[in-house]
Amino acid sequence: MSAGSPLRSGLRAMPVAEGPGPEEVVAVATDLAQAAAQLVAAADALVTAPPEARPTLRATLYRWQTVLALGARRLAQVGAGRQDRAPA
Amino acid sequence: MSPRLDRERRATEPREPGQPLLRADLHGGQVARWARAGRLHPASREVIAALDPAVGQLLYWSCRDLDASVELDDVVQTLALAQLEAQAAAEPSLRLGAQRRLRRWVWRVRWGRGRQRRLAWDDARMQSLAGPDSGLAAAEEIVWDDVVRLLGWRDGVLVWLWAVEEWSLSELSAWRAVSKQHIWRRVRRGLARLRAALAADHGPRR
Repeated sequence: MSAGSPLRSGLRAMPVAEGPGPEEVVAVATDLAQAAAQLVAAADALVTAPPEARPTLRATLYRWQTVLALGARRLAQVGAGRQDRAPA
Repeated sequence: MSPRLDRERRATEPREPGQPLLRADLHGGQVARWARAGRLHPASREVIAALDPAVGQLLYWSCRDLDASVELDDVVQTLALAQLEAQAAAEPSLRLGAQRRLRRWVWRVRWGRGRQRRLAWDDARMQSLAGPDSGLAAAEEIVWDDVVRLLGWRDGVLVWLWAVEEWSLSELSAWRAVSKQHIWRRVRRGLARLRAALAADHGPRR
């Protein structure tokens, strides 16, 4: 699995059982809020951390950044889907 | 803390690139065990020690799905070459770049052996799974958008963080405040749905 290369197979065209509903948007937003709080905590800790603790904290920062990026991408996907379905 | 727990803790701590690869990094000293069993040339051990730690971890995982007759020295050389190629290509993630190259090599080995040794080997199906460059095209081309579209956010993010970002079940469990068993059930369910979608995409098995 890769982060963003184009898909040649027909997987993207496969129908899914149910589209993203409001519950999913709430779940994404909840996780993003939590990830953002964790990111801030890790960033604060990094500022004052001794050099030997910094690699671990940088890895932690990267992990929460990843969750934020995935969530942001999902919200953009949901938003684009709603625009496609909106009446002209 | 017991020596074993201490080794495990050190093995999971991230390190700066260029820091020496600890013996414990390779999952409980697997390299040392291979060397003691006479399956690794001393030069291969030096190559392993020179690898980027994140790339070095791929050795253990790549050898898990190869049978015992495979020459580990060949795998080490291929892994080192994969790292050099990924570095030369300035891949955004060195580990993922090296992993993709190594997996293609493993795939070709498995394909060749399967064709030679297995009775019910379906060459046409293998061809459909592999891309024109003999890579695992279908699996490699699955991106986050596909995973989350098929599985939804809750399962999709667990599968992605576990399979791609290498979060442990403990870390996912702590994040979601549920048991590891619960997380593992959801990850397995998500992987099964992905496999089913891939199988459907490539038609019924003959």
